[in-house]
Amino acid sequence: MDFVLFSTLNGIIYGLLLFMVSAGLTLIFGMMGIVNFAHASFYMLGAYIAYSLAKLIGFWPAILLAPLLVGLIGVAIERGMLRRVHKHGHAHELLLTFGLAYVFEETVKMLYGNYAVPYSIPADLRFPAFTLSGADYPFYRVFIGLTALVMFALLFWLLRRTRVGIIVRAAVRRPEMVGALGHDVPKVFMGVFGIGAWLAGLAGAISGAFFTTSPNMALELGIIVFVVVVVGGLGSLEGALVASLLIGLLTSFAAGADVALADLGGLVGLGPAMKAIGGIFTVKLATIAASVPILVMLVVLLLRPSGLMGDKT
Amino acid sequence: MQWTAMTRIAVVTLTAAIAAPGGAKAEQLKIAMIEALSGPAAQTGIAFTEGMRYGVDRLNAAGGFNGQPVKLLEYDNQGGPTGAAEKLKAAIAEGARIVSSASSSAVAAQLSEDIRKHNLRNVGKEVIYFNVGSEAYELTAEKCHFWFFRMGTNPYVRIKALVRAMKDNNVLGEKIYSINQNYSYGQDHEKAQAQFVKEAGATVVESVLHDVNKIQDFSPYVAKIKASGAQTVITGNWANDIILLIKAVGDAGLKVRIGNTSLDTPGTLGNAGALALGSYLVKIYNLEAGGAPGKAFIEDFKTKIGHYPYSEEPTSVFATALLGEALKLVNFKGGDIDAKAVALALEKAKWESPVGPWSVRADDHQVILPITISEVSRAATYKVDTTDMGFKLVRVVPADAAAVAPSPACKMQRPG
Repeated sequence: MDFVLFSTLNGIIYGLLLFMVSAGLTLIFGMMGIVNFAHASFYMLGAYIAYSLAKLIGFWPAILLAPLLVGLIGVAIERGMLRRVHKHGHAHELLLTFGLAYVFEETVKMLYGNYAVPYSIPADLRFPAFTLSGADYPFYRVFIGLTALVMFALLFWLLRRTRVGIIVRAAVRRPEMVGALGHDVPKVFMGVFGIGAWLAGLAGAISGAFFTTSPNMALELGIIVFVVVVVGGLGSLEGALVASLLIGLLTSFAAGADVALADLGGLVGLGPAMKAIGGIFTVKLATIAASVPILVMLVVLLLRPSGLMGDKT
Repeated sequence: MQWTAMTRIAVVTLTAAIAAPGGAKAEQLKIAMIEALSGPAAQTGIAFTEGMRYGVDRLNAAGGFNGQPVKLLEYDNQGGPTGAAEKLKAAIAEGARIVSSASSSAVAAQLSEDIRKHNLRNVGKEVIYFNVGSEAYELTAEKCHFWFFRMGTNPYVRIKALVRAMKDNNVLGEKIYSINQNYSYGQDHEKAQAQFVKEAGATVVESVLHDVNKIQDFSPYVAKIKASGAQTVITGNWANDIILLIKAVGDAGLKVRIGNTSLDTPGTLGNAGALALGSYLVKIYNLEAGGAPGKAFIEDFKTKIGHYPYSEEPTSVFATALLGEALKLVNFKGGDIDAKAVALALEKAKWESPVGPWSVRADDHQVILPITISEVSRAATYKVDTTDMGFKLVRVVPADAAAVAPSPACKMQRPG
């Protein structure tokens, strides 16, 4: 029972963290039609900038300011680079973001070295939020989850309940029409790109202190975030939330599950035979927990190519 | 880049062509280090490479070999076997007679097999594979061959020493949790942990393998550790997998002691913070060990390379020192280098490291070496990662006590 409770909580909070990074990616895709390969780099930049700033201005100001700086970097990239190559088509934009991801990674390595930097949460934040049958549940973990929830609420309200949101959603569907109505579509794109980068930066600044801040963090999270966006449906914010939670929970439960295919076979009497064959039949689910999201993506792509909530075909 | 490489090859061939009719020309000993110098694995690869640079510099300071300085060629394998296989061809084309790599066991398996085949097809132009850190046991067991030398530890050597030291210091506990990465190295660790924990009279209550350096959140595994009631966690995890594991254990308020093999990777203690205190580390060297010769070595290393040899560096330094002793046993009188003679000399060579003798066991070409056990403590002499913690030496395990019998699976075919 404890295990189920812990796994659920851990899964939800990891899922919410994934959502913070994937929200920007899915919005940018929905709007500009490009997969931003440098998106996970914004997550990394958020963590590194917050780490540097925290030493100067303290932890809280740092995690507020760092995402803003990352947002500005995002704006600069859209304004100064993506817009220039836009007329050459998607392939060029894709290659540009791909290259940027490398540039960011190598820059971080040059400035901070190859190893993880000691960015961690202040000691006075290191207290348990509550205790569940003997094990503490860290407050900071709850804080990560709450921040993500607030962000989702804000984004949802902005997109669904405000005039800005209407223009943004319209620009996603029919940019030419919105332009003809007198709105500055490039500026809308720039704004969305900036907000996406800001969100990823925020996720990095907050979770980099809890997990690790290393030059590999973009690479490690990047793949999962793409999976989330594909599973949720490219361009769908709600889809990203559902997919993030789904993948967070699945990873969490898979890590704790001591079952193999042979155990399933055992239900119909095939157990001993499958164990004798070995190989894939005896691989425990816990062993391949990190690959579960990829399997989910395969299944979703086969059954529902537009993603769980994607409406484009 | 391409052009310079081409030019270099052209020049080398030309020189060779001109020199050949004139008869014997001293062959320069070239050692190729094929390591991950970029990408995620570079953090380990660079440390090993720095040790190699220092080691080769020392060989040259002592007069080089065959009348010439020993040359170190560095190749970036980009972290994978594919890159390594390509770089091996380049290294052989450049005239390397000793090839080395350290970190990835997947790379090591590829290079070992490629070199075995190369040597079968190129008798008289053999290449020695001088591995300084890949731990997968199969390399000196099922896959052992005459040209492969493992100049570092393997999981059995490390876990045997670790578990015994923890038992003697009464910190092993009764119930052990075994968590490792799911590839050759981690699987060997799981087996070694099961074996030596049982020998120590304790129980492995549960063991799990997980994906390698992909997991962001270890709390599900921590929930399992908690449920098992283990007092000690033994793991061969490295890089992010150990940092995140310690953090998750500490954040859950779980009171377990960790025994590990890679806590000394820079950034690990800085990230884990006070949560790491009391953890045990088993490693080839500890900065506090070795008395005056040890002190002289680490200070000299710091002067030449810029920092203390605090993680993987000593392995490649000590390995090249042993190679230096082997080279003293052969003399090619300024002619061609005979790799077979060097390999046979390696089997006979002995070198006294600051903590005890190093030698190669002829049966499986596993180096027999002393290793050190340390505890993460505030009382350590050398603090790391700008924290107030470091690795306090617990004990040095002498070479013969650290050694584990050769695998019966190793059927080495020696050249006639």
